[in-house]
Amino acid sequence: MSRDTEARVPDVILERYRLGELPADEAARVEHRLRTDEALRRRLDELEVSDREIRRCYPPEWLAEQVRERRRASVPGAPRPAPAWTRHWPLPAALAAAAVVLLVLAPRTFGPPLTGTAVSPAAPGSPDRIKGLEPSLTLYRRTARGSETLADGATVRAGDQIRVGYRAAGRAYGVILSVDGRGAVSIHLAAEDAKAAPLRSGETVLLDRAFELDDAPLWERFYLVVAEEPFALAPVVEAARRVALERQPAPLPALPSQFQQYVITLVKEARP
Amino acid sequence: MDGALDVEGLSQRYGPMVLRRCRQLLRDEDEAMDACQDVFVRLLERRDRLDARYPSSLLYTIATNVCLNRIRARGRRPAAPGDELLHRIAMTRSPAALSEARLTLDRLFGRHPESTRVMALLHYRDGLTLEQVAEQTGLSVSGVRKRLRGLRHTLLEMQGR
Repeated sequence: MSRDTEARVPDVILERYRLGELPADEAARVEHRLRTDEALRRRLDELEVSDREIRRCYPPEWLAEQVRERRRASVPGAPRPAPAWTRHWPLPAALAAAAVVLLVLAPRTFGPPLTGTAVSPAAPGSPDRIKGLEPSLTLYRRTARGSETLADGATVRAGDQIRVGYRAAGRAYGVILSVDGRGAVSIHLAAEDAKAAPLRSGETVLLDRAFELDDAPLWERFYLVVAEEPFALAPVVEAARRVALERQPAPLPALPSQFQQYVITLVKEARP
Repeated sequence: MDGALDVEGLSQRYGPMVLRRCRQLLRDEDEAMDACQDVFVRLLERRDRLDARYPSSLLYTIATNVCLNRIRARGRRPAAPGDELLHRIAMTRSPAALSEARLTLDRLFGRHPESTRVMALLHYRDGLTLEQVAEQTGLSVSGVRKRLRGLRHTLLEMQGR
């Protein structure tokens, strides 16, 4: 057992020591420990790293604005604040890391952007479909005041922060991925064992992380693929890769009939 | 500025500490950031109580209380191991508490002011000494000792029944 474990300096004491807000005698005790306790010094270093990460993901000016907005909304008669997720969006560096890029294809020249198609199931004749209760995919873009829903065919640009939501409507398993105009396939929702993730029921479920669009040209196309039974990720990724290589329009081709898929295409704004 | 407080300055200086505390207790990034914002809103509401020397102390205590309330509101048992004590403390007033251990804690904490939950968490889970809890919560050491002693006595009484 390490010395730090034996008489661990509580987190709050270390936090306040770093801020210079401990009473003098308490601060002196921490300083004394730091001279000989390597684990404690390591914890201090980790807090430094954490500070940088948090300030990068949630800039203080943004956090302050969210607080002021919530404070204003708490005044009687004021409109209710937006749901929590619309008030905070991790910033680019952390968000880009949240989407696991499985496959990046060689850049190539693509034709003009495809016309966006409405969110559409690939298996319209599926017997278990219930009118009005279809799985769906929804994309949101962060705005200065919160967020907006992006319709199929909406124009976006590099730097836009996007958050993905889905509604399972009773389907048990699903994968969400996207393909950009360079052919990069990114997985947004899957299980850790390279299989489809169990879907959560209820209203629109938001994925934990948002992400920032990069400067890939032409379009960013998002797919929700669902099924009643567990399925492997590989065939879906392969289909997405083929779409990118062959410049095929949505939906993903050659998926077995038990899959249903939903697609939204965002059109990238042409750069000057 | 909001009133006399520089919200941006407070966010810059204390935001990471508050968010870390919320992450630690809630184990959910979105909920932690949501709680973090609530903490600063409550600070604005209680700015008359702000200790100009040690704002971190009040912010940490508010964050702890906000998170306990959220854990209690969501009601489900945390999946992460080691959270049993946190969960039980948070759920002390839940009418749905059915286990004997939780009932014991319900009855135990039900006899004490709300802030006792925060003190209990700081002392029993976070490892602060009585003196540190007192300094952190702005109470006297004797006051903290009395409350925690009261808890122990209550617990012993309940165990003896």
